[in-house]
Amino acid sequence: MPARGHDGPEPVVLELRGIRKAFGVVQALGGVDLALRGGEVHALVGENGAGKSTLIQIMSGVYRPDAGEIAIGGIPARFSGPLDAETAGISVVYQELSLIPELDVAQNVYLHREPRRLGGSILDRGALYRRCGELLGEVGVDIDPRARVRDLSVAQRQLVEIAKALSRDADFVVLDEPTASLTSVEQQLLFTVIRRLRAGGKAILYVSHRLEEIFEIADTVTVLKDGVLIQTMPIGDTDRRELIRLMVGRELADNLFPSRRPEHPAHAGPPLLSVEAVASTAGIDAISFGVWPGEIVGLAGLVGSGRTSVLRAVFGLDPDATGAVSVRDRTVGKSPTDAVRAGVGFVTEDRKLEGLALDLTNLTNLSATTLPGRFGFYADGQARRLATEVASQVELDAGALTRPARMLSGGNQQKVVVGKWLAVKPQVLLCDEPTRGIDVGAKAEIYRILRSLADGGVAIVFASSELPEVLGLADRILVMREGRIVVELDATTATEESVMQAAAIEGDAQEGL
Amino acid sequence: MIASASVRARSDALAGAAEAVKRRGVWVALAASIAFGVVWVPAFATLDNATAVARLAAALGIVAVGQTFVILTAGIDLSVGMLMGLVVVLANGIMDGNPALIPAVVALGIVVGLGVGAANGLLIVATRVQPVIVTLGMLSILQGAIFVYTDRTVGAAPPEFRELAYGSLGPIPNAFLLMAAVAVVGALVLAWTPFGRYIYALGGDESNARRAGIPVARIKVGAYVVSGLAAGIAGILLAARLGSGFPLAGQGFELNAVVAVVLGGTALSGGRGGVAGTIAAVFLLAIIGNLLNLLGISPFVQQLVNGLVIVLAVALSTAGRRRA
Repeated sequence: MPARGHDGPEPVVLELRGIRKAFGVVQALGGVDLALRGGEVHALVGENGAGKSTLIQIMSGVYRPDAGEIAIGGIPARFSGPLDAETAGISVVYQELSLIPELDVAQNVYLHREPRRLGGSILDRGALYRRCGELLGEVGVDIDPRARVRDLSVAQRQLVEIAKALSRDADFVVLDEPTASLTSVEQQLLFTVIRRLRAGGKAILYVSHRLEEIFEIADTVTVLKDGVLIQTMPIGDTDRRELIRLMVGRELADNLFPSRRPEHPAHAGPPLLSVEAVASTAGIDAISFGVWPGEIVGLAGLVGSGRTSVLRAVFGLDPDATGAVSVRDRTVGKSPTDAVRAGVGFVTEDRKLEGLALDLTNLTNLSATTLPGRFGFYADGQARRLATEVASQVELDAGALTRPARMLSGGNQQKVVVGKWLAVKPQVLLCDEPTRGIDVGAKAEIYRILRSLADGGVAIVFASSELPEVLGLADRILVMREGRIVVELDATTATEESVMQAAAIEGDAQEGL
Repeated sequence: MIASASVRARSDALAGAAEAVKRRGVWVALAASIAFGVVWVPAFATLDNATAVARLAAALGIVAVGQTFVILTAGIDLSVGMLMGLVVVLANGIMDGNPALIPAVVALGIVVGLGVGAANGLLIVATRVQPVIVTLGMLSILQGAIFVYTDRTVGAAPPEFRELAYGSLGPIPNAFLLMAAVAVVGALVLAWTPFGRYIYALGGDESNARRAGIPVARIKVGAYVVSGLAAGIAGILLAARLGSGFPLAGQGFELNAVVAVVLGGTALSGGRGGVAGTIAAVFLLAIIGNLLNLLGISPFVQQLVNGLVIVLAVALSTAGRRRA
């Protein structure tokens, strides 16, 4: 619970009044009121499609509302573009980062606002780096202003993003899913910075899917659903379960994760997937484990611990990997083609980049793994049948099949990615961050799909940076650290603490808990 | 973060080493070709030969500096060769031996260069057609313009004008000095002016650059104007070197300029690279040509070698990128 060092509420500094916005016939926002106070972290939660992004875009001047107004310090403001919002002191840190990887930190932070000399014609590089160093120091971020952004970790980039927002003297900072790709330790670093901003009197709007962190960082929470504000309340007056109920409109908290089979899958007989002494220059070493039919194994660990590298090596995507991978008794060669032939599927982390052809129809995406054919020719009817069958398996509306994947929500896109692997009827399914950036309702559905696959005898290995997911979905947890598996835990008895303890070295663990 | 630091540091070190080799590749090759010449080719390491190489490389160097600006924005300018050719025929055709017209044709070359560059840039920004297509069209337009003006070699450069190419300041050829000046100004503009930094920004990520409020269209047009200006200056120098208006004088410069930029470590995808590498690559190409000449190898074989160097360089640079 955040400590409140003052009496009574802070004054409202930014107010949204009756904001409405429609796109064509779709009502994205139906009259939303929101009040931000200085020195307060205000969390905005809601499922995908609830209107959070639209609201942010309106605050940042990207969209103009159809009705309603934004008042800053009680005075109505009108934004005709992002620059107006910026001038008014609103800074948005977008989920998809806005940095330019080839430039260094200072150049990114002050992009288009560089200190200059000689009437603006020449850059004052000395002042640029000095000022950036001071700013980073104030925020409490230990990053070299001359470091190139592409050499930074995702967490560091996120912090640079925030520094950039602050460099504009923003009074209002909007953070859009800031922790989506951070580990717990990095998240704590971010929270430290946010708390410092709060102490400095900034009004912070914090948008996130992760309810755990909202209870840690927010003072006030607002729930949006279907473009309508459901409720705004002090964080102390609610709990996780109530928030989920308000967001999805049904009790989900207890059955977010499908129940495991009462009998733990017996490790009788040989494992279905067997990985032996896999190592690679991608930073993994001596990786050995087995997965039995019907079992879900979770890979936990900090960013950089090698979770993704293990999955890539098993799937034959890492040309430098050594060691042996076999499915039943069949040795899997070092190519994805051979892995698929052996019955292995891989749901990749980035569905937009690696998992889907966004402009192709869902039907084409679903049949991409099999490309059914007859005599070497593509068989359309067969593909259609197969896609329809898989779509019903992942509970995807059959009407969506003929639409491009781009038009689906994140949750439904993820179902297509999973579905495309179901089409090959895999024996082993590897998933990297199976529910990244999708809402609670869609998460529950993905978990259910994975569990029912396992119940059907498939061996599943997934990597996740979300501890509740690892603990709730997996039967067994393999904790990784510095490229090695350091411990194996039974998911029914493991706790977030025990996983973190193993994932981090001692000093880190303290910081991360 | 600490826990994963050593793994990350290890892969960082590897990537860093690969990057260093890739970045310095052109300098290593340049040093190797010079060493080869000094040891194996007797006529190479003489002052006369060195000034000849420097003189020959100058025009390509100038036009390649302009091309660097364009390629840093992830664009390409294929019209520069014909633009140089147009300046050559106009300058020598108009002067026709009259030294009084030197200032006029120099100004004309610069204005034509600026104009064609601005036209390229405006067309690319306004139509959103790929720069390859727009500048290829411009190549054809300029070639047509040259042949409308003349279909044979015309005019003559007065001796005073030829000094620009053949004179020297002490032992240093004027042509080399001109190129060095253009390169230094280019490098300073890229490193020290907002315009220069924005070229890197929009080449690195155009939509993010736009989101930061950078006037992307204006910067892009500016890059093509720089390229046109450089081609205009290179055309003037070439006119002085050739001494007459040969219609096909500029042919092939566009390809060689692009090759020099890429060999010099500037990414075709934009955002990374700079003028220094380009100049090193220009000298690498000039020295390879010079060595083949001194060894008495036929110009046709030289062209073949040139092609091999290009393919090899591109293959190496993409291989490095894939591993990283």
